[in-house]
Amino acid sequence: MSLYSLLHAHLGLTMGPLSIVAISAVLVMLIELLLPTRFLQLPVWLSLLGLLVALVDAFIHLSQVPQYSLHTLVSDGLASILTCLILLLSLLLLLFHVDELKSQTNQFPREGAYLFLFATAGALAMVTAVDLVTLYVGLELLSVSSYILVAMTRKRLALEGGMKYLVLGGVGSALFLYGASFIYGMTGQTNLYTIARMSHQLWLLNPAIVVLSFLLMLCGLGVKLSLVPFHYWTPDAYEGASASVAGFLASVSKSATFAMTLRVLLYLFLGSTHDVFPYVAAMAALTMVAGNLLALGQNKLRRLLAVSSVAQAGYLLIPIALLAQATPNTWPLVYNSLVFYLVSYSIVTIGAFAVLSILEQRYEVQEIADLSRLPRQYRWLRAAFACFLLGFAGMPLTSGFMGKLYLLIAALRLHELWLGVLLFAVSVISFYYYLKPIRTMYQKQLFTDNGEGQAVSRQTATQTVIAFCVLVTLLLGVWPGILLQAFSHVQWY
Amino acid sequence: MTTVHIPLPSVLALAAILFCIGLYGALSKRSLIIVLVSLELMLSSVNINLVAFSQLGAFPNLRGQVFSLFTITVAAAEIAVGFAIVLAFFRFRKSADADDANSQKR
Repeated sequence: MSLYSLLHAHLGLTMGPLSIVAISAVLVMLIELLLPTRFLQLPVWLSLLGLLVALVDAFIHLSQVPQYSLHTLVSDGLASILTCLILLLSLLLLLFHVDELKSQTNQFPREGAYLFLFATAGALAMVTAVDLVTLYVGLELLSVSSYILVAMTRKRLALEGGMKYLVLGGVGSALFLYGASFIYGMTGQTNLYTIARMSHQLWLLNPAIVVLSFLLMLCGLGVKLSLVPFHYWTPDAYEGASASVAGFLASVSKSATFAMTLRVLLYLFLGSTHDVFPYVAAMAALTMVAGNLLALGQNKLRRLLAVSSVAQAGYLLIPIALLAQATPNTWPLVYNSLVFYLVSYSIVTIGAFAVLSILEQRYEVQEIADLSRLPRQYRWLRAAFACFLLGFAGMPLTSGFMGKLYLLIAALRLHELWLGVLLFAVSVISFYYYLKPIRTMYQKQLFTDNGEGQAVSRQTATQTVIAFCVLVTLLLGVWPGILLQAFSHVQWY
Repeated sequence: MTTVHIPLPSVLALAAILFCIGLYGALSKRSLIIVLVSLELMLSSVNINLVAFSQLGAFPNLRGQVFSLFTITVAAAEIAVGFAIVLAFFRFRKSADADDANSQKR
């Protein structure tokens, strides 16, 4: 590698936001070390500043021509759109994390601020990298930071959740890596583009090993995405973590891993003589059905949101399963529907966890039944929560409905109608358990104690996040073109 | 100096056996320490795979060894975090047993 090629590698375009986030993570870590203990919130504000700079940088370069640097990083449509999305989501999460720091019940140490940044840097590496080594390092940077974040409050549930997440997440990365090692062994390459060029001859030589490594990688990523046979850690980790961390696992971590799954499976396994994508379709169907059925029996709000995120992962897997039928002409359809649903789902999730954090801090709401204790004057909070739950369920006029509609259209256009029909069938089931908290919130109160709840300082940041999420949910529900129009100009790959 | 030639399939078989032992241990053992050791075993078997492919594979090159260096580093970080969490759990419960992590059971 000569200096000339390094200078002409367009590093600013491909790894600009990534390096801004990583550098600010290291800086915040050092500053936090030297800071007196009374400055509790300063590291979070500094992290927010770093994320904001990275977001602006990513947004400015959104319309640039895709570049490819150092055989490792790209700035194609998937990378740049997902970079913007991940930075925006992290920004929202850190913003309502500020309020969690203030609350006395939580005892969240301030080290969380830069761990969020490290995890975000890992997520950015996962969406921009096209090399198996870099993808693996990004995946682990995200995962290891999340293990610590989950266990960080050092309450009993948090430790147990973090431990389960760590053990199963570790198994997941080992499975992914074992699959990747076979791919390397058969091609001698770790670069996805190079492997994609060789993939046809790969399938001719030893199809059995390719299928084996496909299944290993799918299972490994399935653990991280909490697809159904591998979802056991999800409710425990979400219940133990603080609300912002649970929101992080459900939105940022999931978005980055879905983007990586799409890229890896598309580049490595598409030129196949043996069609492997029906396995993905089967997994999507299983996840949708089992996730929705599991959610029916949940009484705790946290566990309800966790299991519903399992079901949502099943919906998000549909576009990837559709790759079997897709030709390069119809790939944009797959990318559009996946990314649109990711945007809608992540925003709704963050909003729901922000509401949950207020409810837990003020009213110690744990179970769905506790929602009936909510005093009457909190009508905005109730309305916001109802909006998010309906967004999850896919009520018309919310972004969830539009997302599901585009998934259905994609399934229809690519002749996998049964997946779309199944999606709507299980969505009908999901209305039952999403409407349960809404009914509890709005039913007539059996006993009225109009207590103010826990005396908590004003949670302005959390309220801002909730307002933003409601706005985006409704806007995308009424006017999805605002995003889809932009997507139609994007060169995804 | 004579070089001993080990055929690739036997190295891969060794890695596969180690991987399966690790997977079994990670999913079935009660002691959390053993679970973490099993995780390490799985990642080490991947390293054997990578190094074997980089020396004896169809396309021998150094990428596999570089990959395995990254794997070793990352695995060390992961296990360090794992032991930290186990230690915190042990202080809390006076136990490093997976069966004691059951407070979510209803």
